[in-house]
Amino acid sequence: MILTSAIEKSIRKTTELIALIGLSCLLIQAVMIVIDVLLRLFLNSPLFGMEDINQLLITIILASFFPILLIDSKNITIDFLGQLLGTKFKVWLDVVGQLFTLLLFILVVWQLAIFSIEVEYQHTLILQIPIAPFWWLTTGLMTLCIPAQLIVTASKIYQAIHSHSGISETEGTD
Amino acid sequence: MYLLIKQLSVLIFLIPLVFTTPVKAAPPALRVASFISPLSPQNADVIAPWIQNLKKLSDNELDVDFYPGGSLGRHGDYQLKLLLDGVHDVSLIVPGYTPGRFPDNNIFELPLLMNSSLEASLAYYRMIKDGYLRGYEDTKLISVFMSQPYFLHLNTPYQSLDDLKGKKIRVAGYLQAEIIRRLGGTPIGGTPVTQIRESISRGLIDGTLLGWDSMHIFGVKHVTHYHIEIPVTYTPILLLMNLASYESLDSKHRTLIDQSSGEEMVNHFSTATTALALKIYEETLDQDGQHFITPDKDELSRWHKALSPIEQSWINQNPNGRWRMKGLNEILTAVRRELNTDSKS
Repeated sequence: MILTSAIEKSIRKTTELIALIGLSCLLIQAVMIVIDVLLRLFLNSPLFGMEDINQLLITIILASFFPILLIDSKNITIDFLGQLLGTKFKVWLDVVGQLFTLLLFILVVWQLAIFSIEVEYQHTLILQIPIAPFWWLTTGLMTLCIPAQLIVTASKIYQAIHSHSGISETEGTD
Repeated sequence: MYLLIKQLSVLIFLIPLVFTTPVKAAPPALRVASFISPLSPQNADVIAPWIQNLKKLSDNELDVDFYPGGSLGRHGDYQLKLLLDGVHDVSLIVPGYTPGRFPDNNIFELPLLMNSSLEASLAYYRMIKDGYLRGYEDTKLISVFMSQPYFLHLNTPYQSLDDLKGKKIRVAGYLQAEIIRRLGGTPIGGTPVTQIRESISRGLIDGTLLGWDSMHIFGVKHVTHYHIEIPVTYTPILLLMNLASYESLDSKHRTLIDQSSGEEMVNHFSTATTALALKIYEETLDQDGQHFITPDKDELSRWHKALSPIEQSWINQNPNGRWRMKGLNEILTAVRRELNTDSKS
């Protein structure tokens, strides 16, 4: 249990750090857009290749927020069967939902890895920056979603088992 | 009596089974996809008749379904992936959407190199066939065509190159950016072709490089009034087949595909798109407020002087660039001889 808690803590720390880096990238992008607009306005000359930079940054920014959203269960869930079938079924339906989410992220990471291999020789349109390293980085960030989701799933299974045995009956926070 | 009726009814059910020949499982239909409008000349005048012809030649043994207008994937960027993943068996691909995937294709974007879409298209096809261009090994080449020549269209007056100084021109790709930069303009990337009209209307850009067919399709002819009559550059377009789909066909059908594609189809593509471009060009020519600028010899020479370093730079940067350029020049000479056209403009 102590080991599980330590792993969860380190994964949570990592997801927070990555989200912070993602936020920094978002701010850098926002500043670049402002500079681009000002350059267009006053010097009639925008930042060259701005679209290329945006294209590369946006996937990394998006991917950097997924792990923290998963581990904090900030995703939207819709309970409709659980309310009809009662608490006993609801906890197990939650487990099924989390397992599907886990499976989905495994599929996404798998496909992203394939895509990163496929774009090995491709580059951006104007600045000709290779895009594969950025897609590998995105794949890496999304890979972190798997342990994050594993923790959430394990926690739901634990809740379901214990609610069954009558030791505790806790409701999910999501 | 009851037994007899029962036996007769069993026989009635069995008779059709005895006389029915075993049904061989039909091969799956080939999915031909194109993300552009079903009414476009490429789809209506070339790909659709090609499919009909394939069916006819194979006595309808070859089952081919056509999905134009992006019904099997709307975005041009994803067409190659959809083809390689087997979602499409044959697909219309704009290689420019995946820069670097076909690394030598931009030889056809070099400025002032070719005179017409037809000669550029034939040269492109032969360059691939002769192994001058990389990136085609994992697909089956059906046909190619080159866009209509890209002219410079502006919404501000133009008399000479001096008028281009500081003008914001939309570009698609680093070579177009280099062309505009060397002509004195400011290249603006990141404007999809569908947004050119709005961007010019809002004053975000002053003009664009575009073919006359696209000028019509994307409504850019309504917002630009100065058209410089120099064919500056081209964009290659491909009709590719998934290699596994091709190899899964029996040899009779593979031969049919080989015979009905290739240079004959290149000619059809080029004729169809040129007809539309000419129609639009002539319609615009007759409209009030439209100015067509044909540069004189001195002005043309200024353009050549400004743009010639790009070719040398490409040769230096591309591995085996000199060999590829030599190959292109030889092929172009042969094509021009066949077409009885002039040499390089």
